Amino acid sequence: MTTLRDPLVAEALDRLFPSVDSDPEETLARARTTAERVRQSRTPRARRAGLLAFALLTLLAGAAVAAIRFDVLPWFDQSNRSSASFSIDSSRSYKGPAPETLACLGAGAGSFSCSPASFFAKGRRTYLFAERVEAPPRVSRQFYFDAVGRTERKGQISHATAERVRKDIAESGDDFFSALAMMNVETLSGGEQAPGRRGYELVPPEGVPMWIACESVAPRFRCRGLASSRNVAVGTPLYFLRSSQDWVAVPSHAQRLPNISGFFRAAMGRDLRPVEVRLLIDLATTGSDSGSTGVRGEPVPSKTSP
Amino acid sequence: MAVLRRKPVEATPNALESVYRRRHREFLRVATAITGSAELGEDAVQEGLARALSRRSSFRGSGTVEAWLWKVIVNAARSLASRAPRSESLENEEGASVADDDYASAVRDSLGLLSERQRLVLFLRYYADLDYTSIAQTLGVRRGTVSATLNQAHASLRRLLSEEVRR
Repeated sequence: MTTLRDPLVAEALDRLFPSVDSDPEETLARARTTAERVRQSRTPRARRAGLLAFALLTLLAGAAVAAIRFDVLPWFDQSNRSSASFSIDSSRSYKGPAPETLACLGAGAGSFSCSPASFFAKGRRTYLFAERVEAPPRVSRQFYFDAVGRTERKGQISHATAERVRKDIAESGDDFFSALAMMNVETLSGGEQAPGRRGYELVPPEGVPMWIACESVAPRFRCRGLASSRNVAVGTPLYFLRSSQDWVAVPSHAQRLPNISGFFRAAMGRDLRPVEVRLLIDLATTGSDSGSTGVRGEPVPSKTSP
Repeated sequence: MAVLRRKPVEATPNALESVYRRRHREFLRVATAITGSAELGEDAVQEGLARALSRRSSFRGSGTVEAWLWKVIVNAARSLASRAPRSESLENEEGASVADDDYASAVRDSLGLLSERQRLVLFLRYYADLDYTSIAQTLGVRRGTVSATLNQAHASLRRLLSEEVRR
């Protein structure tokens, strides 16, 4: 007996929920839209490699001194009402639960409490899971030699380009690679295009974070705004706010550019040398050419494009 | 009887959408039964499909794409049902295409007395016409568990229905 089917039960169940007829395409279209939005929220780093190349043109003069516990965030913080930059502490990790949806009635400044909720929760402050914080790669000169070799073998750059980049890697200073290893800042972007208002985007009301980081304090979750957060533990679940009626239209923020030259000057106690600038541009350009998958898949641009 | 065909494929958007188009009536019927409402059932199918499309990389290829999609949609429906107001569960509502007569009420009350696993096995067996292996893949249990659960569910439902009808 492998496929038992009881006629009495069959009749009973047929009476309760008769077969339903509906148009599959409508549901499919809505599901595609939701999936696309979730997907976009999870791949916000795709654009950053290109940004780096542009930011390098803004090299500024000035001087600063590298500290032992260097706070890297100020140089790369692009946080605004729809984006959140944060630095990662790869020495700490969080392995607790990460529900798909959190309801955070008191979402605002500081930390606040949230509860796991239904995807269809009606509350205005419903946050959806985006991703967990990934551990930054361990960057070194050898790391970049290996990465360039992999990229060349995949045919994504020519042998001549690979040779030139390898030469620049060899000629760049040890302190340059030490500084690169400190660039552990990520930026996530959200917000929605304001319907019918070109140049405007919809963002959460003032004081309500678009992006949050949460940790389990059973049975609830302790969350805080992600924008300008420092030392977020690897594995921390990050959430974005689902839009609601009280979102407001604001002029689209011009993306603030990271101050890369200022960062290196502060971290190394000297200006970037031409070979190091060229290397940064090479790495960023390699990332831009390979698109979003390449940015995630290849460690070269991923690490050098906060 | 539907059998989930085993095929070493990726959960590509095309594969998922193809399975969905072929089985959307069954997905909707099972989700409606789990949530107790046609509206919530449709929400669950939509959410499950969206999750599957956005998290295709989590499909490990250990079963079929269809079994994986069943699992995602059933989980979405269970999640919705567990959070819906109690009055909505297994109740009729306007436009819900849910039968409402004394016998249907008796069936509804009887189903409500079964365990969740028994109900899920019944819905997948009768509304989706899945075989035991496919139900086992969907619910993440052993095939023998499906067989045993279905037997228990039949016996319980028959007993409960006869009691209800006698009243």
